[in-house]
Amino acid sequence: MMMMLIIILIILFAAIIIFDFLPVIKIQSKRDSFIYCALLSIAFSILLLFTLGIKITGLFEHIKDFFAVFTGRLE
Amino acid sequence: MQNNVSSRRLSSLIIVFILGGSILLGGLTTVEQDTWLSLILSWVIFLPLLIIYIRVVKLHPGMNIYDIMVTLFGKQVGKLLTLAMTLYFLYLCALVLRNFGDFIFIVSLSETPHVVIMISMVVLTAYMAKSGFDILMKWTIITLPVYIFLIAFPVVISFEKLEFSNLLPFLNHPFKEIIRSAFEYFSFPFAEIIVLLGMSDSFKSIKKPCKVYICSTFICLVFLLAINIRNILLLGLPMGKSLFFPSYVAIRLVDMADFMSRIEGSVSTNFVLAGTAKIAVCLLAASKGMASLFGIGDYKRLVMPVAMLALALATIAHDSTMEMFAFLAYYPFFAFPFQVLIPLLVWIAGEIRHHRNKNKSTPAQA
Repeated sequence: MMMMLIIILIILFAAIIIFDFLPVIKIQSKRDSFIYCALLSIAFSILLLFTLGIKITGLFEHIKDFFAVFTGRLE
Repeated sequence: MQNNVSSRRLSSLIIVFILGGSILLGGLTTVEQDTWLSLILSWVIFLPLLIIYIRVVKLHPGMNIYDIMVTLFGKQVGKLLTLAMTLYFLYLCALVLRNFGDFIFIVSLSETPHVVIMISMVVLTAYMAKSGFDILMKWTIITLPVYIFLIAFPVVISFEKLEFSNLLPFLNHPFKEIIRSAFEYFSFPFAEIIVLLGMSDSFKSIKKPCKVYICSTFICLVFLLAINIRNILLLGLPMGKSLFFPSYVAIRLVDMADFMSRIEGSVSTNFVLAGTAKIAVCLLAASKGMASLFGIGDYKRLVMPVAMLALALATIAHDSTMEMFAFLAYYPFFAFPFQVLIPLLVWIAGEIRHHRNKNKSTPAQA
């Protein structure tokens, strides 16, 4: 299952690079390409870590802790 | 390129956007059978904020909220506020994506990993967003009548199964609890309309924005009330409180004679279609924010990476569906700075600037 998900992820990002990034790489500036790649890399890293089963703390835990400190538990 | 939007298109966008996620998740709050009262109160509380949003757009025609913030507060503070709003829109996109991913996972594709379901949704919505605002508007115009029919039809044909006694006793909860519940409905779904300010540069051609926004949100209120009351009357309180997706379960109970039953499949498809519109709107707003932040002229170039970021955030947003629903209690407080404080700040600064410009021009005329 994990291998299948990794393959799906790689195919997805490869498709994005081939169909979305490569056609415009010559038109847009290097700075724009760098920003595109940086955002895509962050997304790929998070998704790959998730697919590999590595737990990444979501924002919910931090939000819950923040409000628990100031206002007490809301639940 | 700015797309000039008609009132009809904007209206259908607002209705589909507001109903998109809330019909799916809209369940009973802590005030149970008085939830419908909280809903009405939430719309009343929301109206002043809506007028503030409209005023912000009117003071700066042809500009979106990012341009407005940079104009009013300067580059540094403006970019900081742009970052805040962009991250909120991105996170909202991720939350809605996760909501619908969980819905599809629970009701039909329970053997399919969450991430695969969300990938299919995000690719569709990214394509929709990349096609442009105009295509998105056309999509909402086409799907709105179908959506409204599939909301109203089950309400009508379930009439004989409704237990009106489920609405009693009336006002059984303290008013403080009803207000708190109203605050929850205020932030989700009404105040989420702040996302449209990310695209307000396309609304220059709207002649009576007040009428469009207020009428559209009122229509949403009517539909939300109808669905909420139907859920209470069909399901009752014990079941209604325990369900994750009460609207879906309520529709499962609906049948007409012996030939029309099990319509939940077609209705849930409609839910998802509306959800894709909502995700696409959030995606567009977040992409515009990112483009504004990084000084990229064409926001469409960033739609795909922003969509993938939203997908990544959606996978890590919650560990489980239960956690997703637990977040609803915190969401009003989390969203408050983005839905209320920042727009309030922008409005006040906009009014001050407007009056200063007015005073500068008046002595010259004299």
